[in-house]
Amino acid sequence: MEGSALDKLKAVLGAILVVVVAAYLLPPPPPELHRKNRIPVIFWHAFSGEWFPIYDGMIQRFNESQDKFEVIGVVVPGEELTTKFLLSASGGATPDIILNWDPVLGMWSDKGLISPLDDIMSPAEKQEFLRRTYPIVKRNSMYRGKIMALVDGLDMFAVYYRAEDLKDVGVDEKHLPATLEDLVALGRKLDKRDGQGHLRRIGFLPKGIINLAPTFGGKFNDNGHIVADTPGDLAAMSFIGDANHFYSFDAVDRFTQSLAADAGPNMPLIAGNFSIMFDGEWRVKQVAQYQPDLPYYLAPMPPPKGGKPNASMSAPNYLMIPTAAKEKQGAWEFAKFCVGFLHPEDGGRNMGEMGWLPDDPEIAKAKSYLAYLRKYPKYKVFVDLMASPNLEIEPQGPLQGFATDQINKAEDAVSRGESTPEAALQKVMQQLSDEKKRLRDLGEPAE
Amino acid sequence: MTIYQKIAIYLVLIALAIPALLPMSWMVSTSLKTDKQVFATEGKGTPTVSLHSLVPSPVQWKNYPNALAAVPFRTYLRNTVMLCLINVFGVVLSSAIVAYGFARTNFVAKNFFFVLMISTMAVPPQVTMVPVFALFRALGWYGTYLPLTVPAFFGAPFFIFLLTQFFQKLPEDMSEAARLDGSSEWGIFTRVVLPLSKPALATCGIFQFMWTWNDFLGPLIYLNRPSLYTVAYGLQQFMSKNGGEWTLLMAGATVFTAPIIVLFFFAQKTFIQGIATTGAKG
Amino acid sequence: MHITTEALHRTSPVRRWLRQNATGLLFISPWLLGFLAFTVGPFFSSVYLSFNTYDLVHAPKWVGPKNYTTLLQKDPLFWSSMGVTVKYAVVSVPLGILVGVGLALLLNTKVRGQAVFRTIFFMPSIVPTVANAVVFMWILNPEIGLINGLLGMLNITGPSWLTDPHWALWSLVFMSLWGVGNSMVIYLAGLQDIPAHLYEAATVDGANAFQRMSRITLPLLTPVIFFNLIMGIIGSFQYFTEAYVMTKGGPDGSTSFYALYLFQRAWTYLDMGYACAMAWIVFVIVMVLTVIVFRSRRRWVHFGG
Repeated sequence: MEGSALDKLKAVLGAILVVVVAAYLLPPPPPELHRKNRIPVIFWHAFSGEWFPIYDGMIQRFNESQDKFEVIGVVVPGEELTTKFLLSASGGATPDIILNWDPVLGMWSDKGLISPLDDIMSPAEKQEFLRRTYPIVKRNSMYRGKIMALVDGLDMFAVYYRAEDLKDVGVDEKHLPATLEDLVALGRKLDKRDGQGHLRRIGFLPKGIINLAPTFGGKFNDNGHIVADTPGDLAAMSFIGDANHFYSFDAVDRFTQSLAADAGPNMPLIAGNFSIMFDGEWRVKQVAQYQPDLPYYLAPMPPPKGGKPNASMSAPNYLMIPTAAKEKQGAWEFAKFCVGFLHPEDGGRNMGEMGWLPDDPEIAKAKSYLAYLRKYPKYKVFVDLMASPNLEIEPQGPLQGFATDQINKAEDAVSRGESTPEAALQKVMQQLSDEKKRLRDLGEPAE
Repeated sequence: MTIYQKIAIYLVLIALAIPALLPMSWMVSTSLKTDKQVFATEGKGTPTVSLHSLVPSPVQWKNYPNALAAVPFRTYLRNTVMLCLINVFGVVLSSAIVAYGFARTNFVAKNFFFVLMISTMAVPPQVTMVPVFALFRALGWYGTYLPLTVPAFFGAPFFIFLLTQFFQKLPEDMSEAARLDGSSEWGIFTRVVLPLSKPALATCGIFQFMWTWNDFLGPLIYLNRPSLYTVAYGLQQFMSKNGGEWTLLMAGATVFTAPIIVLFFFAQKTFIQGIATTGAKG
Repeated sequence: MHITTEALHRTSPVRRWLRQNATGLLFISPWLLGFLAFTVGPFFSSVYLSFNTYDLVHAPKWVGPKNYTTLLQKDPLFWSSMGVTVKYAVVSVPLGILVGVGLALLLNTKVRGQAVFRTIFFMPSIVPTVANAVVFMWILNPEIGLINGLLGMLNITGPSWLTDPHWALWSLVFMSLWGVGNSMVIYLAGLQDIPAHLYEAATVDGANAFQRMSRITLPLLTPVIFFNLIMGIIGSFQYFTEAYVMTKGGPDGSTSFYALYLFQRAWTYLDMGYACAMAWIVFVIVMVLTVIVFRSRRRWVHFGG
C-alpha cells in the first residue's frame, strides 16, 4: 500500500514536471525584433567564429542607416547551410535573404528556389547594375540571362612568393618569373630535402585543376554549358600530373599532410612549407593578421607558352533572395548595402572589413576602400585583376555539383598516376553525359 | 583472486587505458595551447607529435573564458539541459512501459510488431528527414522545441529493444507470485520489474542524456532562433570558413564533454548498487 | 486473471480477444501511437517518393521503378559504395563485440579503481564527433602523427593511413574501436544482472575462472550480445559522419560509404527520389540480416532465470 501511494506521488510529480517544463518551452514567440514598427528581414549566413562580429556589425549598420526594415541575422554552420535551406524551402518557410558560398546558383535557379533579381530591382537600378559592375562579377551573378544573385565577395587567385626564399637563389621582386615554365624551374630550385631525402620544403606545387585551368586557356563553363575537356583543361591537368609525377605522389601526399593548418599563424605561406603558392586573395589579410612583417611578393600567375596572362578562376559568395521570401524589397535593400551597389562608401567599408574584392569600380574608388588598400597595399594586385579579360567562372547548371565532384576526382586520379589526363577528363565528360541522359529519362532538366 | 591475477588485470587495464585516453587528452591539451603552439615544430623542421607535445607550455587558460564568451554558452547550456531532462524522462519512462509489453505480456502479432519496431531503426534517416520535416511543419511545430521533445514520450526503439532483453532475463517467479496475489500487470511492472532493472534503466538514461546533449541535427533543422540553440549547435560555430579556431573549439568541446563524464562517473554507482539488488534476487 | 472456462465461453469473441490482448497492447500503446503518428506517414512518403523524382521544390513526378533499375543496373557507385559498407560491417561489427565484451569483463573484476577505469574507457565515445575527427586525423597523420611516430621508432615507415587507398577504410575501422565504450556500458549492465550465487555455486563445484566465464558469464550475456549484434549491423550500414568529416569518400573512393553516397544524392544533387530508393534497398538488406540473426536466436541466446 505504501509503495503504491509513493508510486502515485511520483507519477503526479512527474506529470507536474512535464507540464511546467512544457509551458516553459512551448509558445513560439515572434522573431526577435529589437526595434518596433519595422518589417523584419530574415538573413541566413554562415559567418561564425572570427567573422561573426564583422558581419553582425554590418547588419547593425544597415539597421541604423534606415528605419523601414530590420535585418535579423541567423548564423548556420557552413556545411549545413545548404541542407537547412533546402529543407526550409521544401516547407515553404525560407529566410528572406541568404548568403551561400556553395556553387549552387545554377541548380537553385533551375529549381525555382531563388528569385531573379531583375524582377525586384527597378529598371533604373538594373541599367546601372549592368553598366557599372565588373564583367566578371556580372558573369558570376547571372544565369541564363537573368541576374540571380549579387556577388558578395569574389575569390580570385594569384601567386604569392616568399621573398626570403627567393633571395636565397638570387631572385628579387623585379625578376619574378615571366612564364609558367620559368616559375616551375624556380620552384624546383627552391625545393629542400633533408638527409634522408624527405621533402622539407616544396618550391611550387600546383593543385586545384579548376583554379589552374584559366591560365592555360581552359574553362569549365562555356556560356552556361559545362565542359571539361577543352585543350586548356587538358594542358592544366597534364601540368598537375607532371608535378606530382616529378615529386612522386606519395611524397607529396605525406608532405601536404604534415602541414599544420590551412589558416592561422601556421599556414603554409607563413610557415614556409611552400616557397611559391597560387592562392586566394584572403591570404593577404591573414598574413597581415598573423605575421605582418613577412616579406612576400604578389603577382598574377605567369602564363605558359601560348597561355593567358592575368588569368584566374573566380569563385563568388552569392547573396540570393529565395522565391518564398516574404519581404523581398527589404532583402534587396539590404543586399545592395552589403555589396555596396549604389552605396560605394558602405560597400568599401564592408568589403574592407571582410577583406573582399569590390563588385564595381565605384566601390574600388570609394574613400573607405582606398583606406583599406592603404592598409593592405598588396591587395591592389587583386583589384587590378578584376578588370582582366582572362577570368573564368565555375560550372553552373543542374549538374554543377556533380560535375565539380567528378572533376576533382579526376584530378585525384591523375595526381596518383592512376589515369592519364586525357582519360580522366574523357571519363568526366562520359559521366556527365550519362547523368544528363538519366535526368532526361526522368523528365528533369539536364542542361 | 590471487595477487598475481590482480596485478595482471591492472597491467592490462593500464596498458589499454593509455590509447583510450588519447583523444580526450589531446582535446584538453590543445584547448590549453595558443594557436601557434598547436603545431609547434620543436626545432625539427616539420611539426612533430610526441607525448612531449601533449604538454602545453605556457598553459593558456584564457581559451576557456574566450570560448565561453564567443557564443552565448549560458543560454545554450540552459536550453540543452532542459532538453536533456525532458528527453531522458520521456524516453526512459515510455520505453520501459513498451518493453514490458513486449517482454512480459502476450498479444496478437507480438513478434510482428517487435520486428517492425526494430526495422524502423534500419531506415537511413536522411530520407525520412524530409517527410518528417513536412509533418512537423504541417503541425505548426517548426521553429519550436516540440519536434525535439514530444517524440521522446512515445518510446525509442533502441531502448525498447534493450529493455526487452533485460526484462526477459528476469526470473518469472517473483512476477508469478505477485500475479497470484491479485496484482495487475501494471502493478507487477512498477513494483517488481522496475526496481530490479535499475542498471538497465540507468544505462538508458545516460545514453539518452548523451544523445540529446550531442544532438546537432535536430536543432539545426528545427530551430531558427539563436536564443533556442543548444550547446552542440554552438560548438559548430567555431568552425569558420577559412580554417577553424582549433584551440577555442577544443576548449568548447572539453567544456561540452565534461558534464557527461561527471554524470557517468557518478551514475555508475547505480550499476554497482545493482549487484546488491540482484544478489537479493537469488 | 481468473477466468473459468465457462466464463470464457459465455463472453463474446470480441470481449475474449480484448481480455487476452488488451493488457499487452496497452503496454505497447505509447510506441504504437508514436509509430502511427510520426513514423508511418514519413515511411510511406519516402517509399512513394522512391518511385518518383523529387527535388524538394517541385511536386514529385512519377517514374515508376526507374530509380531502382538505374541503381541496380546502371550505377557503378551503388555497387562500390555497398561493397565498402559491407567490408566495413563484416570487420567492425565482430571486432566491436569482441573488444566490447572483453573490456566489460575486465572492468567487472573486483579490483580497486574500477569507477575510474570505466569512466576512462567510456570517455572516447562521448568526445564530440568533430573533435574526435580532428584528433584522429592528427594521430593518423603520416608525417607528424603518433602512430607513424611510434612505428618510426621501430624503423618502419607507416603508410599514409587516411589518404592511402589501401589503408583508409581500415583506419576508420580502427577508429571505430574507440567508440566501443557505448556497447561496453551495456555489457557491464548485463554483467551486473548475473546472479552472484551462480558463481558461488560454480566455485564450490571446483570451476576455475575461465570455466566460470565460459559456462556462466558468456551464456548469460548472450541476450545483450544479441542486442549489440543487431544494433551493430544496423549502425554499420548507416556509417556516415566520420567518413563525411574526415575523408569525404576518398581516397580513390575507398571510403565512399553507402550512406555518404545517399546523402550526396539527396542533398547535393537534389535527387530525393533516387536517394529514397537507395534507402529502401539498404533497408531490405538490413532487415534480411536482422531476421536471420533473429531466427538464429534460439540456438545461442539464453533466457530466463
